Amino acid sequence: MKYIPPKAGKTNHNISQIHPLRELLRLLATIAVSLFLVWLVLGWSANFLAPYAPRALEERIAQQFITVFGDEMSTHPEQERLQKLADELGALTGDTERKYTVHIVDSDSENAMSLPNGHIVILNQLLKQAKSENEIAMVIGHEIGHDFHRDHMRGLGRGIGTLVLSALIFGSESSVSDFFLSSVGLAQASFSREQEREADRVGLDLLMQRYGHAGGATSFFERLLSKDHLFGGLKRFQATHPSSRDRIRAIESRITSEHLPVDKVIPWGKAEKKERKKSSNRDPFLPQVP
Amino acid sequence: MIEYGIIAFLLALGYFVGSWAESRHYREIEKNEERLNTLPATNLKNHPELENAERTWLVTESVVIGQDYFKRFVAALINIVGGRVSSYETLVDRARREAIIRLKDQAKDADLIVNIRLETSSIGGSANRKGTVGSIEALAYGTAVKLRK
Repeated sequence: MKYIPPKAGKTNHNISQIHPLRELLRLLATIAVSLFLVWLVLGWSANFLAPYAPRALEERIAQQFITVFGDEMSTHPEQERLQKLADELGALTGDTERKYTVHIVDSDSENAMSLPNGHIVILNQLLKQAKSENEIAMVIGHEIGHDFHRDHMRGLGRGIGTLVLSALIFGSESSVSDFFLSSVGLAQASFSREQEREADRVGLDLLMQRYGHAGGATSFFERLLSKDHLFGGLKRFQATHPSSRDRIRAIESRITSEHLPVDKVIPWGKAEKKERKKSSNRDPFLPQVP
Repeated sequence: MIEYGIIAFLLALGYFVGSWAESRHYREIEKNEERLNTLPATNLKNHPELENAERTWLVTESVVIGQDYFKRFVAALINIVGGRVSSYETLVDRARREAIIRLKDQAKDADLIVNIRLETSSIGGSANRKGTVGSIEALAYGTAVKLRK
């Protein structure tokens, strides 16, 4: 048997003739595109599934976030009054299944948020700055509006999807997942301008039904507007909410176009004390003018 | 953020040092294959020349090739989407060719090596864990034959 030595320098058929870096890029692109598609689908499905979320799940999510913004003040003097207000406004939506729970949380920022399962968080600073019960009712009505449309669940939906994805890829303990978890915590940030506008609409409806007039509807936004100027408009609030000016304009244009009455507001906080003082200073022997 | 820095550093190190080592190894392999080309080596069990055998003995050689971070990273990604694990192909190729070279080197006195068998296994710390590959070992063994003159 004759031995013929194999020729050297032939093409190596045992290895793929692809540049390793090109291969890496191809892989990264494939994975990025599929992750993006999954992310899109998660967003859509979350939007669709949000209203059907079981109440137990909503409750678990809500409990995680109630104290994210500060310590809850369970012994706040106005707790009962706010709860009663929320109960009354909640009953006006016609959804008898939904119960609203007010949580007053100690925080320096002036805000309120709607959490799943009817939990409404009101930051203490808002109560300190408020001048009338009507404007607080407007804020609670706005949050009830978010809850009515399950905006928080829709907002959390993609956040939760993203969180699950990142936990699968990077591990649930990693800093990437922590990052997503913290962004899920700010459920408020994912509300769209349309959702905010719709919540404002519900808030005004409830305000009208509760008090019979639209007084105090814009007070909160007017105060924010003056603050926006103070901070040069850099606040996060501005980025996600329609600007306070737009919201005031929208509410006012509804008041004029629908001829909604605007009447005297019920005082709150310092204004309420002043009012009380004024009435106690009156001479009790003089006949009261109705 | 530091974790990504470390990963990027390891990827770059794996890619540059890994490809440098690989191309150097391939040059060596080609040179040695050329040098040992004259020694016939076959996987035939019943080689006709065996009738003229003066003596035969077992030759065994193995080689272990390590992967690098870049190769492992690429392979991990391929394992998500499927396809040819191109980054490991060169490892197996290098290991098998190097094993044959060593086998031929060991059987220098022989006129022929018959019944060559090649086996590959993965060894190393994480080799036995599912879904991971450690280093690659190629084992070549065969029968060296010295022919009667």
